Amino acid sequence: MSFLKRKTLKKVMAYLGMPLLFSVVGYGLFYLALSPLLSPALSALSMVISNSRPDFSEDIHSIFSPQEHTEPVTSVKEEEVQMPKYGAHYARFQIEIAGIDTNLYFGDGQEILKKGIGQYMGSFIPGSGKPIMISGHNNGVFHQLQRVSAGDIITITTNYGVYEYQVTDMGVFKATDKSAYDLNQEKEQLILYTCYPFNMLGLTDKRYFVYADKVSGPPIVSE
Amino acid sequence: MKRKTQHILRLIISSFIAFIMALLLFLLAAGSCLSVTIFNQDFVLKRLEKANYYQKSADTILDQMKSLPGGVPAEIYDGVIDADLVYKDIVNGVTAAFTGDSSYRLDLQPLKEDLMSRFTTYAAENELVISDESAESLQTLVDTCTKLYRDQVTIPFVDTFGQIRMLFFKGYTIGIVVIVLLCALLILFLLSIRRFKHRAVRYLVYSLSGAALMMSVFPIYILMERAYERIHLSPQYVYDAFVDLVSSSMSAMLVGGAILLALALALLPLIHLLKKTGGQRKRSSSSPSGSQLKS
Amino acid sequence: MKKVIASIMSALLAVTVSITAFAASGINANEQAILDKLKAPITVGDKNLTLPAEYYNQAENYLKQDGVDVSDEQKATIITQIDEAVVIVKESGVTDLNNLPAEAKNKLMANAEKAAAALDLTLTFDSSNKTLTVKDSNGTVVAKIEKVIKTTGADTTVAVVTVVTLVSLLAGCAVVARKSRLMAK
Repeated sequence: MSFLKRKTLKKVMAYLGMPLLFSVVGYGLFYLALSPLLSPALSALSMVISNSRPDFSEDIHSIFSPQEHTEPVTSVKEEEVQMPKYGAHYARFQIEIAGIDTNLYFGDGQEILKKGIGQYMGSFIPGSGKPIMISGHNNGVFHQLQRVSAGDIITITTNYGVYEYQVTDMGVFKATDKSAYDLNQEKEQLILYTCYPFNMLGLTDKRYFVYADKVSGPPIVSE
Repeated sequence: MKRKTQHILRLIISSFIAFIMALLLFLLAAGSCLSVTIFNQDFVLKRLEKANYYQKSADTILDQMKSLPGGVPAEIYDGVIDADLVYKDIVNGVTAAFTGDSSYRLDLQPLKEDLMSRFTTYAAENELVISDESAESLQTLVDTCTKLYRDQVTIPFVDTFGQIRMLFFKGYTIGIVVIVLLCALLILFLLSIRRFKHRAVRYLVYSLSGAALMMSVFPIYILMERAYERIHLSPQYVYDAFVDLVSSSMSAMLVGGAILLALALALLPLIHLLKKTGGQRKRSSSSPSGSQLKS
Repeated sequence: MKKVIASIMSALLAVTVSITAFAASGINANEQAILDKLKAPITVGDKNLTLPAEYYNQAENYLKQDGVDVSDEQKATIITQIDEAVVIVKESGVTDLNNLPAEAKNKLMANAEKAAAALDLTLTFDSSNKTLTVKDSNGTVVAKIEKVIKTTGADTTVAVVTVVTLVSLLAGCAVVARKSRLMAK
């Protein structure tokens, strides 16, 4: 290669190489200087960014398809139970005496309560041997909850079994009163609640609770 | 040997000066881009409009109000708010956040009065007695509705963003002056240590190109990788607005990078001209004379 | 902040595995060990901080989801993250998580980020009702939290040091140039 060509090549390399070097070192310095400042925000940001775009379609779907049992079911194996996901219509909820017959969903978000009644995700499905907390609007299905009294039977039909609960108590509590329920208990208690008073114009901070204990239904057992 | 040492020193110092100028030019360009994009109120509000943010916000608020178990039919709420009202309140909120106006309060009184009037009219038309208890409940319903409205028209984290913006602009104006002065000083310094002016200008080209590259690499990466499209924000109109803001800001940075590159390319003929005219500084009396073309 | 940490600790359980079966996977021994860890109180001074039942139960429900099974390796990772989070809280000495100092919050955030990345979790922030939902990579809701995240503190020390160093170097260049007679008179 002639001297002139070598010199030209050297110049071209400098025109490309120097800016590249500046960029690399520059980015490195900015990263060093700014990372302690930005790292909490970046940590938070990384948790809301996933591998795919968000899906804005509705969560609500149905997995309810009850089966006829010719013989009484004494227990249900865990692997035979399809655990519902948020928004799943997974059971039928009935209180015959109050004329309530509706879909039971897993989750209790606004979009669910528009459709029916919803089970709080921090409680458990029937058969778990643990508390089940269900809510509904008082101007909807649960308006008839006021007709329920002690001794009445509540039936929840799932794909894996039929569960009956007998009402033991009712009460009015403030929405923020945590003594109204116990989600820690190792007992299958059905806890229903809705806004109170029932025919009140406006909103109150009171809730009407109905408590019922399990009287029949197959427990879910692990192997 | 002394010549060689001087040559190496000159090379190192010139390169370092060029690097610092690249950083300064990048800061200047990036700051300017930020000031006309995400830190610019009009820009932000226009992008929100493009995402149909105001109408969708109004629809969501109405939907939430109608979902409340307040004992009134959903039709009662029709027309209580609209996109224009939402737009006005969002603009006022953003303006207050961007200007650091801590005294700004959203005026919810007209909305409260309208809602209460609708509820009491409904009660009267249906011959419902409003006892003390139900008056209190109605007030709770009104308060809940206005809280829903306030939460919806307050853009998430706008106050924090406003504070960051204020900090930015505090430093920005002074920063421009300082950066321009520093760049001028550095250019003069570069010219003073370089015997041949065209070589000094060459370092300026390196700086501009380096700054252009720094301006471009990050936005290109963001626009190609599209991580911002995978952010999980809801409802959808909030997500659309965010995605639009990010992509348009990144595009603006690319334009900034292109301008810097254009400036760099514009200096290339100058280098050629200076080389032709043999522009060089006067030799100092201590340096050897001669016609050697050493830098 | 308390609810965020609680959600993160309960969401530490969310491990995604390819779903083939349509049955509740139940709680295996590894998952039970993690649940026991989550249930254990954190003692700070004379106070015991516990994970609220609503978050613990959401975690348990998620672990019962179809196809969610924690392996030995995953259990070890999760328990490490929980232990680290517990140490951070204990060392802070606060009995109310809302009073955690900025440094502790930053550490917890980094810890949560590691766990979320390892377990492929995503948080969805709903601005219309200010709720936070934790979902796994299949979009299954792990937990729902109803309070907005508070902003955390920042450390500006390194940024200042870097700028000071650069300025010193610039000044040094001028001195060297003058001494080496690089400048024209």
